[in-house]
Formats: sequence, structure tokens, C-alpha cells
Amino acid sequence: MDDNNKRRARLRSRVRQEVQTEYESARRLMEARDDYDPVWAYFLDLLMRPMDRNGLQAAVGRPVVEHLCNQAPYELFHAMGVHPLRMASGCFAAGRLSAGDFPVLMCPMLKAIVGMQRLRESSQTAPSARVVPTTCDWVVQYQQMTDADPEQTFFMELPHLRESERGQQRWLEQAYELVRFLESRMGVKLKRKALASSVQIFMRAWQAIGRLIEQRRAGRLPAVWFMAVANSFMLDPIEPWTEQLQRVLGHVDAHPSQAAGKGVFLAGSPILFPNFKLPLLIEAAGMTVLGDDLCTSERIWPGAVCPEENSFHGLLRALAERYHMACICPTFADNERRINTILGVLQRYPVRGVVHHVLKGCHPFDIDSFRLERQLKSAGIPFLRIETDYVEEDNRNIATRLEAFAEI
Amino acid sequence: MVFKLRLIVQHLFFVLLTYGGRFGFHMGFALPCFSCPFVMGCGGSCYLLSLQGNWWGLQMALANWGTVMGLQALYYLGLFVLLTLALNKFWCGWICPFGTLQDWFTYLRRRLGIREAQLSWSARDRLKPVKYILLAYMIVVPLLIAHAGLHYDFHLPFCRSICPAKPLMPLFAGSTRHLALDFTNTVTLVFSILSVAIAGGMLVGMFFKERFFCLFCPMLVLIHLLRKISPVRFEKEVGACLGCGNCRRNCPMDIRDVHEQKTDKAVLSEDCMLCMTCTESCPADGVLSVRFFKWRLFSSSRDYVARRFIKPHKAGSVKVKV
Amino acid sequence: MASAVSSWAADLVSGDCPDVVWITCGEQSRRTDGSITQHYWLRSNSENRLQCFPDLQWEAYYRLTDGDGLEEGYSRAPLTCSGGVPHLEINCRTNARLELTLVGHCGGKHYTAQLQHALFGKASAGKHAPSERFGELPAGLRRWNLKPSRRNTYQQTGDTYHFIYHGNAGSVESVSVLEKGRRLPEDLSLARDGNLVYTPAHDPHLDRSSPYEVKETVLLAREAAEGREYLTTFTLLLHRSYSAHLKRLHGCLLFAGMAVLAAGFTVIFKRRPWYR
Repeated sequence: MDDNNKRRARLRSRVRQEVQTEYESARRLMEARDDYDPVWAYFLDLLMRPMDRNGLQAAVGRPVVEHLCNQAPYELFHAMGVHPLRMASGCFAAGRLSAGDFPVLMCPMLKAIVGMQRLRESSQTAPSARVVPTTCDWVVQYQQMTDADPEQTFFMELPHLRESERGQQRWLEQAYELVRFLESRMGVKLKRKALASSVQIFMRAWQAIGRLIEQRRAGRLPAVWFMAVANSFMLDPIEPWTEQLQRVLGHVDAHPSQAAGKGVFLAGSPILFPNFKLPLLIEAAGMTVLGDDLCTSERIWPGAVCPEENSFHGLLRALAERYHMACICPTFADNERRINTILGVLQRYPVRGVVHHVLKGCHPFDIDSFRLERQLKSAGIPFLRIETDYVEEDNRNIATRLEAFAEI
Repeated sequence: MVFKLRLIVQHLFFVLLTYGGRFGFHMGFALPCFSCPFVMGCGGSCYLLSLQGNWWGLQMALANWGTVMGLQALYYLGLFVLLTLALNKFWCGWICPFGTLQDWFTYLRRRLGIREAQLSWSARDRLKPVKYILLAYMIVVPLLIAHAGLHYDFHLPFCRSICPAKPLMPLFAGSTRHLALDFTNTVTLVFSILSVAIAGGMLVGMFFKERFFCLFCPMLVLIHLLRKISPVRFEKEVGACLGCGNCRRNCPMDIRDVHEQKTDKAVLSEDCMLCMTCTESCPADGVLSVRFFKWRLFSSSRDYVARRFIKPHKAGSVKVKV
Repeated sequence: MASAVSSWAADLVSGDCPDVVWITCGEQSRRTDGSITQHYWLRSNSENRLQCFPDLQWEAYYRLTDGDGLEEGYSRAPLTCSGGVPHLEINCRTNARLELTLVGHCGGKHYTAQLQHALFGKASAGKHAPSERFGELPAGLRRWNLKPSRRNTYQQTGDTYHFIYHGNAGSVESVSVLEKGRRLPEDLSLARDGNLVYTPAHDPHLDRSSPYEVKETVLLAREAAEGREYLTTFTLLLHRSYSAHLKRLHGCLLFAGMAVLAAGFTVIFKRRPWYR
């Protein structure tokens, strides 16, 4: 082993330790909360799993296929007997492992993803395949960043126009392509019945999470716990996860916490465990997040899969449209309906303002935030843009701005 | 469940309008739906027959203005207007027996696992004017017969040369008469060839494409003309729509307007038949609603979508509390 | 039409009285209340001899049968003289079937002229207004009785008509048919019990015309009994056949052919995208 490799190995070892520490301290922070209940332990356990891919692989009992972003239909993977696992990570320490190889102003989530992969490279089970919908500029560079095996990686070409016939057709073709890719990789044939069954299983999860969203909007559930549940999605097989969600619903029904302070809506870039700093700071500033449009939280389950008919094509079309048209990621060119989610929550619930989270380097959300700000302010709705990354140095500054915002 | 209620209403009216006359039930000659009068013992007659008819049609009203005959022709028009105002497109989605027949074909196709034929957006748009052309055809030809000496065998032009209900619906009363070619003269032969050929094509169209004939139905145009003064409203809360596309995909008529509408509240479009399938599949609370005057008849909700699209729990699967 | 039949029957004239007298349909006029007035003319093979002479005794009886069933008995209608020809008009308010019978005699000849057809009055309400109520037709009147068709509103070519002759069938010398396009009367045979079956042939001219176009066909029975001659006519107002030219097999083949063609087109071109 030459010096270079030795140095890399040492760094990897140190970073692995830091990642471990970051995850564990984040967990301890959650467990130390006044509103902690053993019902949350299951979800906190799941949130620790990304560090231990071997354990995760054993727990889900299926081959794992990693994916980026929300547009690859979970039901397809599930129906083919594989487990979809979202690569996204909110780990600051992991990002350090890859930071030197990428631009400073690059999306920290992508840095963390690459870092986590490098940590796992030598010691843990590799995924059977990777599926990458081409959303933002960073994501499309995934192949170059990771040197992943092209044979194992499938890029779903995401049409950035959703409300055009061509866009919808192309995306449906991509869904068929994904089926073909997975069939060839996994050596199984996707059956209509299996797909219909998976749709039902995920719809049940959608139904349960809908109840949890209602509880949260009514101010009976703190945002961090909702995010903990959302972040743990697909870190366990879907059915026991949904079952645990039922327990949570029972718990929230029985022990509703009362919303403290003003209700706000949290919009913008994804927030991922263990980096829950923004929801925690919002809470500390005396506000409660009653709704969000984060792709790692409520927006994992937009729309609903309502097939026109239960033929294979009908199911696939319904899935493709649910994951394409219902998505409000600002990487889409026709995204004017994004504000509707916010306005809908604002109309129905006591939400006083919008906090917009921009991850440094997350250009789509950054750009979109200015349009959103104009629209909301013209409607008389207070708006605060918070641009940050996974570091904690700016916490004090953010807290001050949030406290000032809470005073409005 | 709205779709179950609709199924019951559709079949009730299918029986009433196809066989009602045999039991003394008749809803008159101005129904805003394809209750075919060529069915012996039918329980009501489509207004399009009255519109084209030599004794009740528009040309009679014009030619006998101010007389009892003229008023009688207008009486059918008035009755049609009243019935249309009362129920608007519910006539199409809930009552029309020919619509129900088309839904049977769709049911059969789905049971056989054959997927629906898709029309491109441009093809769908190009088909839209056809029903206006058919409406003009059925108004102009009787006028030409009455005033321009056109041969009388051109009478009832829509019923006799276009409408597929005429050959198909009498089959339910045991009559194959309207499937025959009429060799009486050239006009009757051409009309019957058109009628039978269109019915054959439509039959297949109805099998592969849900509510295929409704894409061409001139009754939709007539009903649509009265939408603004009808108490039946189909509305969208445009500011709360997430654009998921369920309404568009589930629409039997492939209507895009409901999904695409971003400014206007009224979304009862020309081709809509108020089957409420879109509202049933919209997961956003209160985004789509059907009203009668100020009363809300049905409105979209996440809970409803869950009940509608999630099958009842089976042993071994996850139980979800609603 | 009437004059055409007259000319073909002209050679039947004998003596001072006409041999053939029948009813023809004149114009229809619609009143403002929607009721319909139908004009009828009495024609003969020798119109000069059938003028409105005061010694020609004619009585007109009619009854209208609408959806409510048979009206009680016959009504009388006055015959007027119009242009020297006997004429009458009947007003009908609703959809009804008219049975019209004219009875007259001239010298030793006794005439009965009959006609049945549908009238479509569109008045909103009210009964027909007969000019005079009368009970039954005169006893012993020679007349035809046409069995009503349940299938068709209109009398049509190609349909078979069942008549019964009320009179002394054994004394009937001849039964003949006069119709447009046939130079000579067609002789029919009357059964001993008075039954007569007649199927008018299709007429290409009628087929090319409007479905409301009619051809008058006159059934004539000539009976001689007790030194009197009874001449009984029944005017059939024949429309073209509504069902004889229908070819179901041709239609079903075309229907199936189009269905197969459309199915092929759909499968090949329209069930896209054809991924699986």
C-alpha cells in the first residue's frame, strides 16, 4: 500500500468515526427531547441504518437498488422483489470525504452521498443497481462523480416539461425502460398482479402518512418527529414500516402535543437526517412547522396512484404520472403549481409565514425561491429565505433571523 | 361510493328507457340523452329525433310560427331546455342508455385485460368539431327538405345515417331491422350503408376507447350551450390543485381542460359528462366539486381516494386505520 | 291519380249510371290549432255522370279511432258539391284512424265506396267534432271489411290484406283491382265465405318517391242480386313497402366487415405505445 492509499485509508477511518458520532449525537438529541416516546425508537433505529448497509440489506431481505430523487416509482422496485433505497444523505462528516474532489459551492447532499459511498466501498454490500432520474445539474453528474459501473446505473431521462404530451409520453417510456433495466439486472419478469399488489401496499402507506400529515397540520405532532418518520421511509420493508406508522398514529391520537408558537410552512431544499438543524432552530425560535414541501418529507407522497384501469399499462401509466406530474421539484420548467401546496396549507391551517430553505449550491430551489418570495409577499404572506448547508457555524445567525421572523 | 351509485342509476335508467314503454312508462320526446325511439317499447325519446322530425323539428317551428303547430314544436324545445337545465351533463354520465352500453364495452375490455387505445392530443382536438358538424347536418337537412325540395328520404338525417344507437339499441328489444340495408332507393341504401358501417366501426371504437361515441355526440353540444344558466356546476379550486394529472388520466373522455385550468373556477367543459370520475380520483381536498345551486353534491378528498382506490384489507397485509 | 284511374276504368261505363265509384284523397290542410282537415272527392269512371245531380242520393259515414279505442258508432258528414264533384272534408284533432264509407244509388245500381287511412292531428286536446252522430251503418249494406294490420300504420305495397265481403258472396260476379300503371283490371277470386286475400305488388315509382307518397288502388266487387247491381269499392292508399327492401344479411355482413376493419386499424395504429 503506498502512502497515498494509506492516507486515504486513515482519512476514511477517521471520517467513519465522525459519521458514527454525528448520527449518534443526532439520535441522542432526539431522544433527549421532552416529547420523546418509545414509539419513536423504531424510526430512530431506522435512521441509523444508512451507516450499516450490511445490516440494512439483512433487514429488508431483498436485493437493494439505490436511487436518487423521488421520481423512480417505489412500487416498481417492490413489485420486482428488490428494495429501493434512497441515496440521499444529510451527513456533514461524510461530505468531507469527497469535498476535495468537487467544487466548493456544490450541493452538500451530493457530497454527502459520494462520501457515504466511499465509506462503504470496501466493507459493505454493494447495491444491485442504481437508478438516477436526471433532475438537477448535480444529479446528472452522478456517474462522473462516483465512477459507478455504467452497466449497473440507469439514468431515467426526466422530461422537464410535465404538462406536455411529449413530456408525459417520454416519461412513460422511461418507466417502461426502467422495468426492462431492472428485469435484465435482476433476472425477473415484472407481473401485472405483483405490480397491482405493490400499488396497494404503497397506497396503504400513503393513506397512513396522510393521517400523520393531518395530525401535524393540526399542530399535534412536532415537525422533527414527522421528519424522522418521513426520513425513515424505505429504510425497512414497507409493510412493517406502515404498521409502525399505525402505532405512531395511535400514540399521537392519545398524546397530542400542543403546537407552540406561530405556525410556519417550510419550503425548499431537502432536509435529511442527521442534519435536522433547521427544523430544530425554527422550533427554538418559537415557531412550529405545520407543513412542508420538502422532497424528503411530505413530498415523498404527493398525489395518489389512481389507475384508470388495472392492466399493466394502466398501472404503469398511473405510477409514471404520479411520480412525474405530482412532483413539484423546481427542476421542472412548468412548476407554477408549486405555490398551490403552500397556499392550500395557508388557507386551511394557522400558518403565518413561509421559511424557505436553500441548500448552498442547490440552484433550482435558490432560483425558485425568488419567484416564490415575490408571489407570497404580494399576497401579504411573510417569507424568509435561509441559505445554509450542513455546517453548524451559522446556527447562531440563522436563529437570530428566525427569531426576528417570529416577531413579524 | 359515487361510482357505485352511478352504476345503479345508469342501469335503472337503461331498463326504464329501453323497456319502460312496455309498462306504460314514457318520459316524453325531448330527453337530452340517447334514448333511442327506434327501440320498440322504449321509455322515452331522444330530443335529436324531435329536433330533426318533420312534425316537431326546428323547421316546423319556423314554418308555423304563431300557430299551435309551431308552438308544439317549440314545446319540445322548451321541455328539452328545462330537462337540460335541471340535470345538465348528468344526462350523459348517469342516464344515457347508449352511454351505459358503451360503459359495458369498457368493462368487458378491462375484464379481458386489453388496454385502452390512446388518441394523441392533437387527434383528440381534431375530433372536437365533428359534433358541431353533425349538429349542423341535422338542422340544415330538414330545412332543405322543407324549403329547398330536397328528397324526403333525407329526413331524420342524423338518426338514419350516422347515429350508431339506431342499429344497436333496438337489438335490446330483439329487433335486427335497423341492421339491414335498405334497397328501396339510392338514398335509403346510402343512408343504411352509412348507418350500419358507422355502427360497426363505433362498436369496435367503443370497445377499445372508453365512451368513444361521446367524442362525436352532438347532444353534448346542445347541453353545453345551456351550462351557464344551469344550476349544475362543476368547479375547481385552481389555487389548490397540485397538478397530479389523475383527473386527466381517469377521464373517460380524455378531457385535459380540468387539469390544465389554472385561472377559471368553472371547469364543466364541452365534452364533460359529469361522471365525476375525475373528482373521485382527485386526492386534493375540495379541489374539484360538483354543485347544484349552492349545494355541494360531491367534492374531492384524500379520504375518498383512499376508500375508492385501496382495496379492503386482507389477512396478512397491513391494516391501515382511517 | 284519380283521373288516371278514371281513364283506365272508362271502358267499364254502361247505361246512365257509372259502374265504378270510389273515394280519392284530396289535399290535407293544417289548422292553426294543429288539427288536420282532410278533403275527399268522390270519383267515378265517368265523371260527367257523377255530378251533383239532386237525384243522386249519397250518404257519408265515418268514424275515427284514436289511441283511446273505438268511438261509439259512426258519424255523418255532409257531402258538398265542389266544382261539380261530390266532396267532403273531415277534421281530425289527434292521431287517429279514419274509416270512411259513402253509400249511394243510381237507377238500379247501389254504390258503396270505402276508404281507411291514418290522420295525424296535432291539436293539443279535445275530441273530434262530428257534424252529426249516427249509430251504425245501414243494415244489409254491401261493404268490404279490412282486417286491421297490427304492424303498419300505413297501407303498403307487398303487404297481404285480408278482406271480408259483407253481402252475398255467392252472387258476386267479379272482384277486380284498378291501379295506376295497370291498364286492365286485375281479377281476384272471392272465396265463398266472402274472404279475399290481396297482396299489392311493389311499385318502382313509389320506391323512388317520398315515403309519404301514396298510390290509390281500388278494390271493386260487382254483385248482382234481386235485379239490383251492387258496386262496392275500397280504396287502398298504398305507400311503398317499409320492410320488403330491407336486406338483413347484407347489413350484418357490412356491420361485421366494418367491425373487423376498425379492429384491425385500432390494433395496428392506435393502441400505442406498443411496448408489451
